[in-house]
Amino acid sequence: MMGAWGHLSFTAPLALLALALLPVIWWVLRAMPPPPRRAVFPPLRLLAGLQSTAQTPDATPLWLRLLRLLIVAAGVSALAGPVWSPKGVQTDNAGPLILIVDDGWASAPLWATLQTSGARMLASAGGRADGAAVIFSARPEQSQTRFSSPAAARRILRSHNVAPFAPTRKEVLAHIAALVKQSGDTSPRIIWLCDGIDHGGAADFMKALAGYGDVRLVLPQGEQSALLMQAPKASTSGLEVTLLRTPSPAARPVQVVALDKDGGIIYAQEANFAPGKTSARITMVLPLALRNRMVLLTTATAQSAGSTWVFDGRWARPLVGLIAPRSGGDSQPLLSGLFYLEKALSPHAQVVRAPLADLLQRQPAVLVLTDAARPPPAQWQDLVDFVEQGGLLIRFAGPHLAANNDTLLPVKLRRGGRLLDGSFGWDTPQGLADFAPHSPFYGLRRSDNINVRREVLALPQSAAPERVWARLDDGTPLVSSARMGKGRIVLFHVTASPDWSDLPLAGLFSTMLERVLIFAPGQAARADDDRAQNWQLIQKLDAKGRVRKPDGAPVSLPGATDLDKLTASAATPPGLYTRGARSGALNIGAGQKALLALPPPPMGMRVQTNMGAAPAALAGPLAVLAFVLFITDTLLSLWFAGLLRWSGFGRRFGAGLLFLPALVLVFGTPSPGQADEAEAARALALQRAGVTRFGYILSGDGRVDRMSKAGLFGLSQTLRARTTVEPEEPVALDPERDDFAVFSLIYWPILNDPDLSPKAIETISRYLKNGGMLVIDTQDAGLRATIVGGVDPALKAVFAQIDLPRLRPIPADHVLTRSYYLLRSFPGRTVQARVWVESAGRGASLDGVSGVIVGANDWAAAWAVDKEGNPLAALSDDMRNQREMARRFGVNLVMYALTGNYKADQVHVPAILKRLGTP
Amino acid sequence: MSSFVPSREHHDAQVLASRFGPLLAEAKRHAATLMHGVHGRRKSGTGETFWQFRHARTEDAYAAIDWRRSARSDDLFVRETEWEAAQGVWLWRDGRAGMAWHAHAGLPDKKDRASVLLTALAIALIKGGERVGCVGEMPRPVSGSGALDRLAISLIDGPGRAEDFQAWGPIGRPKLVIASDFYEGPDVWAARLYPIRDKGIDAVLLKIHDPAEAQFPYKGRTLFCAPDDSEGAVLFGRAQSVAADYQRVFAEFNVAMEDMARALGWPLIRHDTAKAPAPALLALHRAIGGGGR
Repeated sequence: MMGAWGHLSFTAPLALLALALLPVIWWVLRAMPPPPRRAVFPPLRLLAGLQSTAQTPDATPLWLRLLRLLIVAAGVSALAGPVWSPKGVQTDNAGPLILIVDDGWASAPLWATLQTSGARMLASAGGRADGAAVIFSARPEQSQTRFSSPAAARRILRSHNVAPFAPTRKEVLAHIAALVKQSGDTSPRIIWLCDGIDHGGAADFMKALAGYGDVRLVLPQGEQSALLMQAPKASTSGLEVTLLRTPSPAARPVQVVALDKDGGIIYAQEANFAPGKTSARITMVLPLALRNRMVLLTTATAQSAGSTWVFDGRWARPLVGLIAPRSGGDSQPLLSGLFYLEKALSPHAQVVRAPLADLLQRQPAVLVLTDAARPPPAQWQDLVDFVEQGGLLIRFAGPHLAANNDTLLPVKLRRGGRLLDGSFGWDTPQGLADFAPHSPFYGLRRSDNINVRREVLALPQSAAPERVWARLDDGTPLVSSARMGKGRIVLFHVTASPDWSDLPLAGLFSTMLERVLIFAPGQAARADDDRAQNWQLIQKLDAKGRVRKPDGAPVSLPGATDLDKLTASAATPPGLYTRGARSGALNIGAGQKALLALPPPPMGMRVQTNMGAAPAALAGPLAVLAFVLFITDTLLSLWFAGLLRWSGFGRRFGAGLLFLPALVLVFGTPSPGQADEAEAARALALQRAGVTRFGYILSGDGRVDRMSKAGLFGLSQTLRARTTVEPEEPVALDPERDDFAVFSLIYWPILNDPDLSPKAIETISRYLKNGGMLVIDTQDAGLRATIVGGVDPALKAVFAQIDLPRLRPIPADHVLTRSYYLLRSFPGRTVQARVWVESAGRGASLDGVSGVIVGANDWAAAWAVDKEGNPLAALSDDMRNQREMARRFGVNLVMYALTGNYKADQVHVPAILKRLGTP
Repeated sequence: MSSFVPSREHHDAQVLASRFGPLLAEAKRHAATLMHGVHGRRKSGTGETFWQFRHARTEDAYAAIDWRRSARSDDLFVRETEWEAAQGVWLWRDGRAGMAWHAHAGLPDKKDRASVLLTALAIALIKGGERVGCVGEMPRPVSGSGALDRLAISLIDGPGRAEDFQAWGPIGRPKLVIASDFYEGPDVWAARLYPIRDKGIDAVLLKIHDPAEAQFPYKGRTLFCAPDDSEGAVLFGRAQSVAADYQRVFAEFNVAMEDMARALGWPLIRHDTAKAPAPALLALHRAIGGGGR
């Protein structure tokens, strides 16, 4: 039963009956005065004689009685669960509530909002056992099939996850029909928490929905609405990425980020939706090497499965086969064309040099054929097949080609070629002409000092302008290209070695080849397509646009499926699939032309855009009010009893009370602008930079954080007492907002999978890159790692997000064992867990000093002391002087952080002594 | 980390020092003003300092006549030196729990004020060559500035038990200063003081009280209790209504104490902790200084 009272309603109205007790309480309070104030009075003996004076007790002051009644009233009202419903939300209809929730990919950016507003709406549905039902549009099978109590429905909504595919609203109608039938006479209220996108057939759905009468549609606000990423297109200038949104009059900047397979951000660029425009296009100009590392393209804000593109094998670094001459060993390897090609291609592609037969088995995307490496006629047909089935063949001219034409050419060649600087010719060596706009080389800077001395000449009638990609100054083609079958042939009219021209010596050569490689086909285009095998899902894309290992039953699709034409659904989840050696991605945005907004709602359907102003539960504020009043009453009682004097403590406390409203104001007002924050952060960093300090990363667990602080405090005390390092108070760090750069050592307790934002990851990665030292401590003596077998799951999650160098168990002669004390083990609260450091050889920039030290011995607990220097935690006592040894390790750690490999020389002390010689 | 926390013992010592130091300093300051205003004993006696020539009287021995002075005129003169004999002054400050009390922040404890007054007096007396002792703390009076610290510690931190008077057996007829609030009542104190008077000892009573004890500024429902919880508490529904009665009782108590002092033949000096200590100190000094001038 749900009591309603205008805008105010109660979830447990019976509790209000307790208010009837208020007069009784009034009477009791009247009879019970507050305890007297105590006063010490030395001449008590003199007072004793006065006791006959009348003892009329002070009645409880009126205002105090009113205060206490208010406390009781507020408490009782809070228990009754009042809900304040602003305009329109509360309907007069008392029927059960059917809540339709869009849980498709488009809901991912606003899922938290959807959940809270849904929960609030359910809260306003009262406490009836059959008061509400939740229906999910993307996963209708998880909907409630009969009405339950709103609390149960709320639990279902809370535990529900967004689906990484679009909702199928048609199925929802059947559920609603079933529910309506159940509700009998009373017509149910229907609220639709919508993602604002027409996923197909929305108009019909809405029409059908409006037939049920009392229907309300709740739309997301513009900033929350989802984005859709279309299939990126590789162009000559870069990667073209198009984002779609539903129509909106506001401009909206969106950060597009490219991630590598470890989740590291390798590139970011901002796309801007102009006001009123529904699409935003950017061209990501990034080197092929970076492009090849890219596995995921997503948006930093409003991230969802739809705004994410998973790259499959088609986008990978192409395998380029350099066909080696049959004759075997090169007599002059440095003058061979293959040498120049290998150098020029290796930044952009995986290059393999082998005879043709071996190469074809590896299924390269590109074959490079130099003049000297012409295959025997028997293999010629293989080469033709390769091109016809979609391969890219890059050819270079040479004496053989000049003498004999063959079939695999984009243009017909004049026999004999052309000698430009011969002793008997009038021609002079020619330079390059500007690249034509249709050429993939367009935009490249041609260099003036490239001279072409000899070339093969194309027959003018065969060299159509679109086939010519580069010309010499006099207009003769230098690079020509033509399609053949599914593939393409590109011919450089000069040799790959500098014999005929300076081109192979120029940097331009490598850039030109990179542009040519864009035409390299993906694996899909090539042969050896085993359609008998099934597609297996190996990485699934979740609704939030993150790539995860698939859980649950393995997903496999028929091998004949064309993933590009498939729409993501529950049976065909988006993600990365493999079929044999090939991989294919199923993306939400594949083949999507536009992101359609919901059509205007039919008559009779009420629309509400603001999800936030859903009914507000007043129980919390009322309970807080009752509590604050109770505290006030307690303080007043203390004051009456004389325990709280206005002097001294009382005055300070009173001042604190006065500050309370100020505090409320401070926390109530919005935080200052970002510019101020950045300014403040910079000032703080400057202030912190002046002295040596240690930081610890907040774990979110108060106990752990206190221990981290006490541990670093203890370590600092130890250092002050024993060394010349005099650190100041340790500082708590939040990777979200703090600058790590000024800390020489940061302690990071990782107890459970920390949820790191891209910004936090950026901060930590940059700290490591700039030579910081991160001491990671799982504080469980390696237990979790042992249980799971392998790496601690929490660490695994962290390592997956942060680009950490390779780690290895600490070697016995590591600098850490001798940077201050000579140590053999690295104990903390526990002793046995292994310590891992970076394996050496990370590059000269960090001088071989490990930036990461990973352990599980709970070092902070062993170092932790209170303000008076007493240890705070009991140790496992597995070794003698364990605490002392832990402190020594701490000192060594700091010395290592501060002096690096300075003491590494000691490793060689025996050898040095020996060399110095004993006289 | 920048400031290390001192050990607990150190802390206690610091608290002690922080109380002792200011009190001693205050006492020294008051003693200085006292000594500034009063010089010498101004009394003839067995000393070395010349005091005055006076006309010889018939009872003077011939040996006492200063012939050199007498030769200059027709009369006979006797050379007198100033009285310097140390007579010994004993001090006692009540240390009951009620003494360590003040009603308002900003006023000193009665005990502290009494300590300051007695210490200042002791300093002035010792500088004047007197021998000063603390009842219950010292077997005999001491003299010389070297003993000053010990005396000050005894006076400021001493327990001040009333039972000390029973075991106290001074040599000769020293002066005695008793500082207390005398709230144990005239009867108790009379029983305590008459045996002392009977030993022929002259005493000065310093009755010290807090202004709140005289005015009774309490209001509302108040439970009054003894400082050491020894006696039962007294509850008043409206404390303000008994204020007038209390003031009357307090005045009667003062009269009773003065009557007792008069009966003993000892001066009673009253001091309010809200007032400046200098007048009380001067009065004390005069009272034991043997009248001066």
